Amino acid sequence: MAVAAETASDATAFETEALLFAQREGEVLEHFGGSLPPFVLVGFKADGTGGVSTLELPPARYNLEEIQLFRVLRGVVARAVRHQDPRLLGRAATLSARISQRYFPKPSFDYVTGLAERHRALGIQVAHSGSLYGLMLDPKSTGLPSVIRTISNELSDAGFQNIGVFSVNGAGGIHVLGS
Amino acid sequence: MSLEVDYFRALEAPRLAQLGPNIVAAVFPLMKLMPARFILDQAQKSGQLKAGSHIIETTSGTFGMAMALLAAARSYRLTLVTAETLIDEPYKRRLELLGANVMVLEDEKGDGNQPGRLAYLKQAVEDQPGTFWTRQYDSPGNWLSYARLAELLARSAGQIDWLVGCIGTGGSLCGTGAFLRELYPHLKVAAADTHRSVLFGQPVGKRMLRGLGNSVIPANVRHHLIDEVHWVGAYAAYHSAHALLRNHGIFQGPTSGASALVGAWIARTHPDATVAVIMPDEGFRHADTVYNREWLDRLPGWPGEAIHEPETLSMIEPREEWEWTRYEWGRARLDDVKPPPEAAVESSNPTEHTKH
Repeated sequence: MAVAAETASDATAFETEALLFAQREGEVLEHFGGSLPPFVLVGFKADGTGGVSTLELPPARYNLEEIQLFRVLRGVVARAVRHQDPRLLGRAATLSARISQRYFPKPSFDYVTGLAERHRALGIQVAHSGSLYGLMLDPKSTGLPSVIRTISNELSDAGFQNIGVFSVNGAGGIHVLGS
Repeated sequence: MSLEVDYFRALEAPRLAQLGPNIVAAVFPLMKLMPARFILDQAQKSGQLKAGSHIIETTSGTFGMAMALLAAARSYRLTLVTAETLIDEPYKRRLELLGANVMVLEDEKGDGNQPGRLAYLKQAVEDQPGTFWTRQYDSPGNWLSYARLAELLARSAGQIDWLVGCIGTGGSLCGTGAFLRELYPHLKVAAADTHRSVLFGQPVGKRMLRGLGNSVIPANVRHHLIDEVHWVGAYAAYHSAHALLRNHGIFQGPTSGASALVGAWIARTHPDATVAVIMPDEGFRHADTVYNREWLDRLPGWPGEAIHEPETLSMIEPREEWEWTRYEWGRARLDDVKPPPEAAVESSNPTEHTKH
């Protein structure tokens, strides 16, 4: 369950149909029955290091409370998909990222969550077995282009790298908006 | 052959019922199956439970029934410690038919004799090494199991602003509330208790409404999660249980009546909020009492008038069985609101030490 749940916020993001995938077992645990709700993702790298090999990384030993919270998040993601509710998806992603941070701490986590709150992001998304961050934004929010510019500039000033902007939605998967 | 069927998982799941425009109820046939199965699964995984192990627990009923069903299906031996005021003969027979050994202790004070039951149980665990005590009162497995209820509510109801449920061990309300509050930090939690239960600072005494409240304070009751407490008298709960059957076709026990009463009032007074109510078990066990007009008519003062609004207390005190009171707990710790009942009794009446 823990292995399964850990992929809830990331592995599903780039599928046309959202699903919960146990990456170590290669097993689909739940088809959410639709695509993820649309959101705009500002992605960036936590540091300048290269990629992480998932299989070389020891699995996180989540405690029972975290495992149980993951199961609740699975329900939240299911609802976010069914009702195409990006805010709910963002909330699940942030909670999932907070748990991940206890096991695979990423640098500047507090800075990133602070940034997300300041700009009223839907949530933050992390690669539980990698070094990528993502700020999830509501595509319908007013003044989005200027918010994206401000966030990108702040991130760049703070020393983050590989900053890219993507539009994630069900119909066409993922579009690069800029970098 | 691989059939994807798990009967107990299905049996422990509630049906959802919409009781009004902004109130949904999780209606359980036997809610305690959820913590019982979770606690047994964890104990099996950790090796604490082995084939044929002996399980023991103190329970006034539904957790015992859940444990008896699971122990029978999984071939464990089971001892249930209860009190004479808490268990009826048909229920006892059903438990025994499932293979449980039911120990019925005397209960002179009529408060359930929980201290006596715990003393008996601890002695039994000492005398029979390897006995597994499920500890529904303070095992974290109790509250953790309710992630499944939080998940179900999150899936089907979405944002929830108020969670209302009975409180006895604290498992269902504090467990579901803790998980839901992670998702919805503004979530308010209201506890349905009853007069003369010690959980929220009332003096211990005879409780007519059984299945919620307590005469001791379990660790799973986490006071700091609770926003407000309602003490629902037995008669008020009975009226509400009858109304559930008449208005919604929901045949549940009187504790479900208590939580429905509180939930409906909160839904009325907060029309913009979504309220979720937990209803713990079905009504069949109460067919000869709560759902029997002859039995009801023999109660002093019955039927009185069905109440639809609680009286807000400024000082916590017990009331009559037809009354319904409320206190704004405000996520306090028990010590912040009132000295522990033991200390209060000792200071007001130094000669009374029998309850220890």
